[in-house]
Amino acid sequence: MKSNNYIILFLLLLTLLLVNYLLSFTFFRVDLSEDQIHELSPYTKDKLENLDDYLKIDVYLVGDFPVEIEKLEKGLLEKLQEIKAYGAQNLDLSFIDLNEDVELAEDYKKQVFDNGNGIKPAYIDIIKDDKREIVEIWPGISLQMGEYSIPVQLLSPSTRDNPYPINQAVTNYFIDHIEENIVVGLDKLFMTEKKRIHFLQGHGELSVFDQREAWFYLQKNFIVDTLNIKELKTEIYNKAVDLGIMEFDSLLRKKVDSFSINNISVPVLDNKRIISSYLKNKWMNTFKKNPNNLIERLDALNETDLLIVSKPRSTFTIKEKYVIDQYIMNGGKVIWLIDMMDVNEAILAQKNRLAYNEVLDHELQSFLFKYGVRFNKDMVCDEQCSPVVREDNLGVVSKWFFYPTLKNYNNHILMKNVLPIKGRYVCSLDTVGEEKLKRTVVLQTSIENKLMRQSRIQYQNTQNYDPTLTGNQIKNKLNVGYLFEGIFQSNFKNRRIANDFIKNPSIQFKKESVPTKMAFIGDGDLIRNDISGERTPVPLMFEKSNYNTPYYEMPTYGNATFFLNLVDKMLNRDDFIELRSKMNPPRLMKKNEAGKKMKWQLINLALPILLVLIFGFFNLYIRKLKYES
Amino acid sequence: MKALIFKEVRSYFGSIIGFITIVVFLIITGVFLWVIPGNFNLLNMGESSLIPFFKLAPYIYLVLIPSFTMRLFAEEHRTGTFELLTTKPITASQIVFSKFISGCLLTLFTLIPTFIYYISIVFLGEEIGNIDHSSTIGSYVGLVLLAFSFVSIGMYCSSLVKNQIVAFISAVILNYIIYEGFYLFADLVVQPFDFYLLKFSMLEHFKSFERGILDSRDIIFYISISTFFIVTTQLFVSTKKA
Repeated sequence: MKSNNYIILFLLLLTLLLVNYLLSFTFFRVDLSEDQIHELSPYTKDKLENLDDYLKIDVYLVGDFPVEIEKLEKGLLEKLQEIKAYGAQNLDLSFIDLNEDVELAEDYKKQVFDNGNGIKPAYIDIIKDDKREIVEIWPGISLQMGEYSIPVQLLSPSTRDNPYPINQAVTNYFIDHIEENIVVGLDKLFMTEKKRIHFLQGHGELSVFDQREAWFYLQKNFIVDTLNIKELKTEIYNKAVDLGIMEFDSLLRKKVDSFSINNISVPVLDNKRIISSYLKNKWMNTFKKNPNNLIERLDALNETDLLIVSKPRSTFTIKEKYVIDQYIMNGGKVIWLIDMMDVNEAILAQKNRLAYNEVLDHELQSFLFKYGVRFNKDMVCDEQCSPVVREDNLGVVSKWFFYPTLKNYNNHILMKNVLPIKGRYVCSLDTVGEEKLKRTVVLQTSIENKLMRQSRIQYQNTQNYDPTLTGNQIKNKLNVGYLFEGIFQSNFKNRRIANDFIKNPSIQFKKESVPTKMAFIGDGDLIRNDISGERTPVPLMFEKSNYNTPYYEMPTYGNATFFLNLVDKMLNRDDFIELRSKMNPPRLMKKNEAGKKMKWQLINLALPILLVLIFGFFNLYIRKLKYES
Repeated sequence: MKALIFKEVRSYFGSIIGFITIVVFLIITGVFLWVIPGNFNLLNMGESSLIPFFKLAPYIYLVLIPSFTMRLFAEEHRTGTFELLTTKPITASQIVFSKFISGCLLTLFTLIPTFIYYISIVFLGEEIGNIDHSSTIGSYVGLVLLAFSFVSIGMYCSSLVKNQIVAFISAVILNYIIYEGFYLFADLVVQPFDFYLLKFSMLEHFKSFERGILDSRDIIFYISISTFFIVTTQLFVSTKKA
């Protein structure tokens, strides 16, 4: 070659390298798979493309595993590759097999476990060829940036004595939630400011205990707390604090060296702070029982990004309504989970008492009516419904028409790829007036439905409630969940409010809201965990009647997913909804019997070769013809 | 140029060796995908997808394609027909390009029988046709790009030497180095150089294609590889021609 050829080659190589390098900054990725299951959400991509520091991801789910666990490993690897594609040179993946070095394995594990602050192991029950094997895995990754390190647990931990099996449902759940978990970890790492979600209390709403699963999920992404609009008056509050301090002093003086809180004894000296705050709260709660000690705080909702009102059962004072109203007018967002009527299931169990569905007296109907929605005082019966476990322990009613399974027939994004919702004593909703609002139906019944007014409820003779027998003749779907977006009118536009509120200089009354959102769901029990047996809460995705039986492996309900979607929708985190709506559709193969397997093997081995040979002979034949002529 | 391309393809199919190579390729692929119960087995996977095929195919092409391309120039050198070519009124780049295209055509030809695997999987689904069609097509696109890069590398090796066997062996080695060698070597290198070294590996650039994701960076990489080796061959041939 001539010497200037080398120069040409060198220049070519340089150009190609440069082109590759430069174009890597404006790359695009097209996910051709159906439903774009591999594609990361815009939120994640944005996070990864704008890493301002070196992000190191340690992966611990590595090793030689049985097939079931290998599927998890593979799913995780694929997701991480996708993440790597966007993080590029600012991101490093390292795969750490904790068992690789037998001698150091225990030390490594201790380090990863980090006294319970790190990744926790899961023990998996594997049954193969009638042999039982318990496999230890470390289903987590740790995200490290600078001196910070955030562990991300991808599968719930378990102990060696309490292993759980892996089935298709667990695998899918694991894979579908990898990205969400990692994003939560990244948010923690970048210390993204968290929004505040408050559960309203003070009107017999569901407690934290009742909705613990929803709380658990929400706490990953938000600051979650309960909230009372009514608080102790200042002088009463001070009195409670004084009483608390007094009691604490007397305890100290008595030289008690341990003190019991909720039956757990705590040594006094180590926990002065805990005890004093406990005593303070104890006195406050005593004072709270007297409504005269309470006062509505005008600024109660100032710190709230989203208010959740879940199944109130007693009256709201007009001032409380005013606080909520003005919160909405200033752009506050509310999810209303309201029951108009309820059934006391405990009474259903008693033989000598008649149970009725009773109207709850929270008196929110007219309040919410002004915002454009009417909660009807009725109860929906639906042909598509869930079973109920009888409170009198006499088995299960397989079709309890008061537990409709709710869906969205328009495939709204909130319900995309979400399992049906289990409703419990649901009321129907109508919309009224207000053209400035964008109203979307999010939950519906089926067309076979029926509305019950006040009537007797019993486990026997359920055909009385069966909508297919005596139901809605028009066959329309009832709407039981709405999402409203837009400008709301104040409830207090043409109404007087107590003088001390009006005269308060800190109030600037607004009669029309800034654009905001509210969700109205006609079911107060949307996120209430059922209790199975004495005290085992049933996860929202499972049916109580077959929980802990061999049938419970497959999730049945989408209550939790729907609720989380709804929360994200309210807080403008639409990317997370999209993330959750992605589903890896199962593409299963037929189970092949030995004979059929042979057939397919033969086809795929012989047919391609045959094809080539036919082509070959054909080719030869044409040649022959050509040369003969 | 057309005549040149046809000449190459015809001469390949004129020999029985060409058919034997393709049949051997199909047997190996078929056995791995359908019979041997290993990582690549499609039947044992229980899931309708061709991903194992796309994982296996690069390794097979790594060896198969040099067997097409080894003769492109080496044969001409050996039989002395290269001098004949140089006297014809065609430019060096035309020669090189038509040889590259004929290599590509042969590669595409070997892909056709693999559609049978695709059809089988379609019928094997619990629900017939339940396979991610679009992502499979994406993977095929990636495989074709990868194979074309192998063709360009093979052609380059063939232009260097007179002996076909040497051309074959050197092409296989070069293919392997670029396909997996850089990838393995990157493990031994400290950060952040390992990242850049990985970017020279075809394997790294094939991972997204396997799952049906088209990434502009991967496409540009494969086109760059082909361009580089085509131009290098062209320069090499033109100096010989002159």
